[in-house]
Amino acid sequence: MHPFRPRGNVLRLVGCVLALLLSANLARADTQAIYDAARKEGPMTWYVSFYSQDLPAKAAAGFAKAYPGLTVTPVRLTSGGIFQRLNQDLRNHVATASVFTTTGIGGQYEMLLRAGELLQYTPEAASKLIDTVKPMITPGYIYPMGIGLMALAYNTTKLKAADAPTSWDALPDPKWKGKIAIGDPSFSGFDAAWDMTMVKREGFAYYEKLAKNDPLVQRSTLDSLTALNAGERIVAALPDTIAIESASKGNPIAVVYPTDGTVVLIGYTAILKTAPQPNTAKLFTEFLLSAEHSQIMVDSHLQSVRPEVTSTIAGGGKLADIKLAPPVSTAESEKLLPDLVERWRDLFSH
Amino acid sequence: MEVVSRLPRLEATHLVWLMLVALLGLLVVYPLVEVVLISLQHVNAQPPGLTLDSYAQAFGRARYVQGFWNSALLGAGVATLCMILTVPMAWAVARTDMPCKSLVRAMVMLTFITPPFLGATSWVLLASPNAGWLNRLYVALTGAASGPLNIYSLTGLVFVIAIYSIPYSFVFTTAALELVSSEIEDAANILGAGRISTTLRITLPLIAPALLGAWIITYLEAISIIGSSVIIGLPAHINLIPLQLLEFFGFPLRVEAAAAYAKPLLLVTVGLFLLQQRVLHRRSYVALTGKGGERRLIELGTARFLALGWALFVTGLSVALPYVVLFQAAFAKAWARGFGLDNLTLENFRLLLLEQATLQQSIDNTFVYATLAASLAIALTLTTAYVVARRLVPFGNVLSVLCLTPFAIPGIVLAIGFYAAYAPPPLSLAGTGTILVLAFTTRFLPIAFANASAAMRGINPEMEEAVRILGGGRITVLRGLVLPLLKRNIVAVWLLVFIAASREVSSALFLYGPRTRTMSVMFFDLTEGAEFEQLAALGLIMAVTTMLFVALGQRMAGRDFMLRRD
Repeated sequence: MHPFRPRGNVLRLVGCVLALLLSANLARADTQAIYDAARKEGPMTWYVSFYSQDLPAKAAAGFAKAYPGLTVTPVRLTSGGIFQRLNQDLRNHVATASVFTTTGIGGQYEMLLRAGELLQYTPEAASKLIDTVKPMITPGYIYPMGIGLMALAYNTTKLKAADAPTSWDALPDPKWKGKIAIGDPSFSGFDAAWDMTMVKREGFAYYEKLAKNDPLVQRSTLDSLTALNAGERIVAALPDTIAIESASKGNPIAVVYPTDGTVVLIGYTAILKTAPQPNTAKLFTEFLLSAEHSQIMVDSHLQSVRPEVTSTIAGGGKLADIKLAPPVSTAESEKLLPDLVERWRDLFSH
Repeated sequence: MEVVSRLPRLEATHLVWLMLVALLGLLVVYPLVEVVLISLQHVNAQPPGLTLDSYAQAFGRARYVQGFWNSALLGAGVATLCMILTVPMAWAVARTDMPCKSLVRAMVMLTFITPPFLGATSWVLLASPNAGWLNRLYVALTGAASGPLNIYSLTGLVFVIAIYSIPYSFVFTTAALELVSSEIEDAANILGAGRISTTLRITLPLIAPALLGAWIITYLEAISIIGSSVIIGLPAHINLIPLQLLEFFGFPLRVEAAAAYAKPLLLVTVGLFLLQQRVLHRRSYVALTGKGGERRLIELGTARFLALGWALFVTGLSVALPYVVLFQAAFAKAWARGFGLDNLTLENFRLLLLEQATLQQSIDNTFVYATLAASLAIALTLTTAYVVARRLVPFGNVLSVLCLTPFAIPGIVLAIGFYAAYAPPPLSLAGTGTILVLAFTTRFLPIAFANASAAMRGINPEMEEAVRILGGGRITVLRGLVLPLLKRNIVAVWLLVFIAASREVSSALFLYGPRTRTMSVMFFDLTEGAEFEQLAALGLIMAVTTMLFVALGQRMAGRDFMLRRD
């Protein structure tokens, strides 16, 4: 063994550690400057749509704990609703929100980016996201912060597990006539994602076939849950998060991840150029991409974007255990969605 | 001499006219102009300029146009059914010796306090084709394969909107009926008319302005109602005006098309208003003459129990049944598990009261805004109704039309106009309570105005002339005669607007800011992101707190809600 080699390694190691410490210190110094500036900004408004009603408050509380002295006030609406609200602000030159967090369905972020409405900021945490979501990053602007799944759910008192449909392709079968509940893509982001995934794969004919089964069409995915719980319908396309939550309260609901691919819906976040609290917004973006936030999501049965936090699915399995349909990018949805919604509404509402 | 004495009055009335025009202009015209401007904007605003593209877009598809016809049919169905349900009940309360009137009034008030959104949700649980409680009961009793009710139909939608429209018609109708003197009816009796024919041929025609007003307001309310359309119209596969508007506000976002799509509603309102004028043309409906006029109760005999049965049946549909379902859900761990001790919990209330940090603020916001909006609306509409009824100003009808216009603008479209008008500098009201108060005031001007002008029409000008002849000025007339005569109406209208504002969703949705959320907005948000049990609990909290405020208001005013005169 060469006498100098270990020392060389040690030196290299020391060098590495020093470099790391230095960069960490630099980063920390940078973060500290932003933090100091943020503390002078006051409460920040957060336009958010990706997750359910109580989650924004939990995220805001987690942020307040991570960065004492900073406050985030969430305004939560549907994907369509929150984008409308932001547009209303922009059109009237009113700066309210600093951070915009949503599914971005219909190309919302692309439109904002083209119009120069987004603030450039590269979060440190961006490099630490899981590999699967890295391709969805628009560097400097738009970052994936969470993952939702659209799956099948059924009423366990009306249907035995063995009889439940196991794939999307099973739904047009006449045996489900009058038994299915679905949401409307012009309201619900999750349903829009499902519709686009199916139309990309099988064409609009899938819904023409499904329409013959007279599904109960309601506004949001929660309405489908209500219909399912009541036994009004016994099978539904449903985000697994709300189905698991409802089942845990004792409602007769179970989730099936379809064998032909569970639909993936990514939640994104971006900072607005007109942000009244840009520094709080930067730190909040770091927080949304952090392991702490991913843990909050996983606790509510959504999926993590951080490798440190393991996602679970209904029944306690791993995300890797199920087949996922390829996600539709927000840019692609900008082209797909308008025509799809028109044809869909012509079919189901006239 | 003549000129000198008349001059000051002319100036004063002109000042009032100018002030009203300015206020109504600010509240109604300004936001409306903004809506029109938005509808004329290029869809992709480069370069900025005017275009009719959005109109082509708004009416360029068969489904969009169909939405209008469906809504027109719906409105007519709702308004007519509502009159059929309400008029016998209102007549029995106002003119007969039907027992338990306080109970019936209380039930009507509970109906009013119940947001239509909440009622529609309950009725889905009661009458959905497979799982509805009533259908299941029918199946259990008869052994039939399925129940007879399907809430997801045009009939179902007409029914649900109609039962929650009862309060407006009830207030209008009872108020008018209580002003009709028994002497007129006695005259008909003496001339040989029976009780029924007197009621149908004398009493009801006398209150035609109130009935027509109620019909129109119910119609307009029905065609722009959001909650029930979403909850029942969508699953029934019926496209409606509010659904189409929401679609334009969803993705892809087409605000311009939405603004354009709302325009024909304005024409409908103006049309109905003109129709009302035409129908009532050149007839006198003066009932409050100041010349005595005894009002006796008609003795119904055993039929009075029939009348009570009808009133309780109608309000049972709007209050009793829905609240049974709501109570069950609000206190249930999982409402689908049905009734049972093991399913009872207070957890839903605990979550709302303790975990939802914003609930307390929402309650405060709700009642502060509703109080201010109701007071503003009263002041504005009473003044307007008076100067219009007494023809004190030129172009009085313009003021009337302005006051009634907001009914033709669906709440969400009104909100868009309001935001465009008030959010940017120089007013910069975005996210403030002020913008909500102003929007609520504007939105409920029609209710307040219709009531105020109906009341005003019932006061015989001869009484005022008597005061004037005796040397009293216009102010004396107002203070000593008109206001005391209208005191009950004022309290009633105030409460009407207060309750309407406290449960308002559609305009508040786009206007509230991070710290100005109201309970109804919170309710609407919860429908789409939380558990149904919590939703039911919040619905109960809303109903109970509103009831407390109304009781307080009645106590302070020393008068009963809904114009009771017995």
